[in-house]
Amino acid sequence: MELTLHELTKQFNHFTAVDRVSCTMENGVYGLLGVNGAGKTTLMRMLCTLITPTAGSITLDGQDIFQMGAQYRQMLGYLPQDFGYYPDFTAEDYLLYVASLKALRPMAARQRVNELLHRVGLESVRKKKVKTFSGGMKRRLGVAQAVLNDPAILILDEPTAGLDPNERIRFRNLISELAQDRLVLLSTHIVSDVEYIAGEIFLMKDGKIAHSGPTADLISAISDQVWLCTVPRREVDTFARVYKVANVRLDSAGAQLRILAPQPPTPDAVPAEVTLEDVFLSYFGETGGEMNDTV
Amino acid sequence: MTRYELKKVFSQRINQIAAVLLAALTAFCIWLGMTSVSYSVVDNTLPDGARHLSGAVAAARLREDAIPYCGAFTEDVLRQVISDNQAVQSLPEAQSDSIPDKNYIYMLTQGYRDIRSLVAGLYVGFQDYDYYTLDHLQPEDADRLYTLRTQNLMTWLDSEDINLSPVKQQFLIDRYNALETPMTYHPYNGWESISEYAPTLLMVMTFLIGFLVAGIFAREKQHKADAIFYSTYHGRKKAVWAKVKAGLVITNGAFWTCTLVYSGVLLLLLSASGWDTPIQFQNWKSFYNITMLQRYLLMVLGGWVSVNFISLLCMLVSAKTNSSMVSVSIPFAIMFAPVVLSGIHAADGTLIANLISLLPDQLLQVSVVLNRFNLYNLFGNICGSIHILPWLYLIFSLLLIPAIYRVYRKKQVT
Repeated sequence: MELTLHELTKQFNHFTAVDRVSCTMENGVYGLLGVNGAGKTTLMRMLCTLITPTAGSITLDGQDIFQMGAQYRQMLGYLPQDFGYYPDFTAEDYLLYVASLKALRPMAARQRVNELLHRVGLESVRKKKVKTFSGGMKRRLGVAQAVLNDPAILILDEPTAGLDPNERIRFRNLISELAQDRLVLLSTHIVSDVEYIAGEIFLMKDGKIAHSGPTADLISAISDQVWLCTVPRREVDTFARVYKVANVRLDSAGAQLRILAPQPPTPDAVPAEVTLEDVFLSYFGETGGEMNDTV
Repeated sequence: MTRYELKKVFSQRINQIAAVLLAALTAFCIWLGMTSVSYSVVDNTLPDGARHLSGAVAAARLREDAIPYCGAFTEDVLRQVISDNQAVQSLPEAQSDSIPDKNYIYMLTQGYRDIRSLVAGLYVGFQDYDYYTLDHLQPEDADRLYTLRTQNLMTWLDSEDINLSPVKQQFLIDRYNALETPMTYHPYNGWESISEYAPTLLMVMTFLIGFLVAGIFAREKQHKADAIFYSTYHGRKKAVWAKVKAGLVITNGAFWTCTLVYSGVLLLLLSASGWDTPIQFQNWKSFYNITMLQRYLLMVLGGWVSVNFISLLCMLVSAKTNSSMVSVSIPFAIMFAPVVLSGIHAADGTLIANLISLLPDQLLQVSVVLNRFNLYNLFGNICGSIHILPWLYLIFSLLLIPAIYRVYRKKQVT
């Protein structure tokens, strides 16, 4: 199975949300990383046939997915960023309804729903209305509906948005389990969501795929550009203006900075192990940084 | 899938309230219909000397009193009514001004109340009505019973303010002459009650049904559930049909339940007697030569077509705009636009009147339309608005179904 995007473009009036994106995906987990507004959701909606491209094409094994229509959607599972549900439905009813939309036969649907409710840990609340669920429970229900039809292509748009750390870890593990023998495309702006589970990463910026490749390749591309150094606290702002600062840790000796730079920012700076977050920061600037005060 | 669409609608508290209101509306209209039939009996213990009955008991007493006048309503029967009335009016109580005496006289005339009503419109000018006409008639006036009707029409047609072409005028005269005489008469309280409150029932029902169906398409977007909906196998075909089907199930389920309960209960309690009585007994000017039963069937047909049309229109607007509020205002607009338009002075037969008579709200008040003289020339054939309206809106409704499907299945999730 090969999903190919060719010169894919989507314009809304004069705004280009997705700009000539080309790539090919096969079975495996793909991470789509980018800041908010990079065009990830628009790209995913086109992949789900929810919106038509202004130009370019998406083909599955050479066939246009928009022409395939229902045949393509039969292979698709989708969890949108804003997971919509029917507030007065119970979890079980909701999944049975989506199963009917996905053309599952009633008996098979019931069996699959039971299995998935168990798998996502919602078995005990199957008769409760979805509106009473926590954010994490709703997301798990969202994943369950996405995989109801055992899709060959699973598209997850910001699946961990709004979840607490525990839920995020649980969610990541769930996705890892589900990722066997299928194509999973997972968009996020939280680097750690995809760092350990994605085989290949697409870095998206301003509607374009700025860089792509296996996580290891992206990391090795900047392997000698991440430094750790300790500076006086009063100089933190000065360094932040000059360099891309991935992290600031304050301690009694001053401020320990994690800096992305081609050359050592200070004479005593030492090379640090590169993470995907550094790659993200390297391409998308300061917006990827985070402050970690441990005074 | 349709079952889940219905579940979506009825799982919402606001729609549950709308369904309860529909049931309450039906019960209220039945109560109105029941209490609209009254019969008075002598009761000297009361200040006005009369006890007023209503509902099934009143209808039964009225039927009993009307027995001497039932059957073929010939000139002889009218003559008998005039004589009977003269005998009543010559009683000493008829000359009295006291309320108990007046009530007593009224009680003696209840058996021919329907005939009094017919005479009150027939033996006066074409556009007039005088309740006391019967009191002034002589037995020999009965000879003019069936000739007077056409004569009055022709006098009216000769007046200056008539906007009907000679062909249409001749059509009316022909229809008047085609009335089968002597008319058959049986008391028709059940049918009268049904037709009196059916427009109220249908109008409020249409609004409530519009309310129920307005969210079927719009709420998918409002709940942000449209992305998953459209990304599924049936999302752009069968699931859209399921929504249309759910809308039609709600519309027709509500319509038939309310209509059949309303008319069934009223006919059961007030009797279906008079089903073969021509509507001219109640609306003597009408050129539609049909019976009470046929009028009822027309009312049901009109209501059914209209409710479905308005409901489908709501669904189309809902599918197009994703707004329940906008779509729920459609029944309002359709029902109240004619009220605004009626502010324009338009006599029967004028172009404006003819256009207003083709608005969908007219189907909700068939009993009123049957009294109007709006005529249309369709390919050389003259017909009334009731001949056009059901077919016109049935065709519109059938066209709306694929339009809703097309609009909704092609929607993009932006």
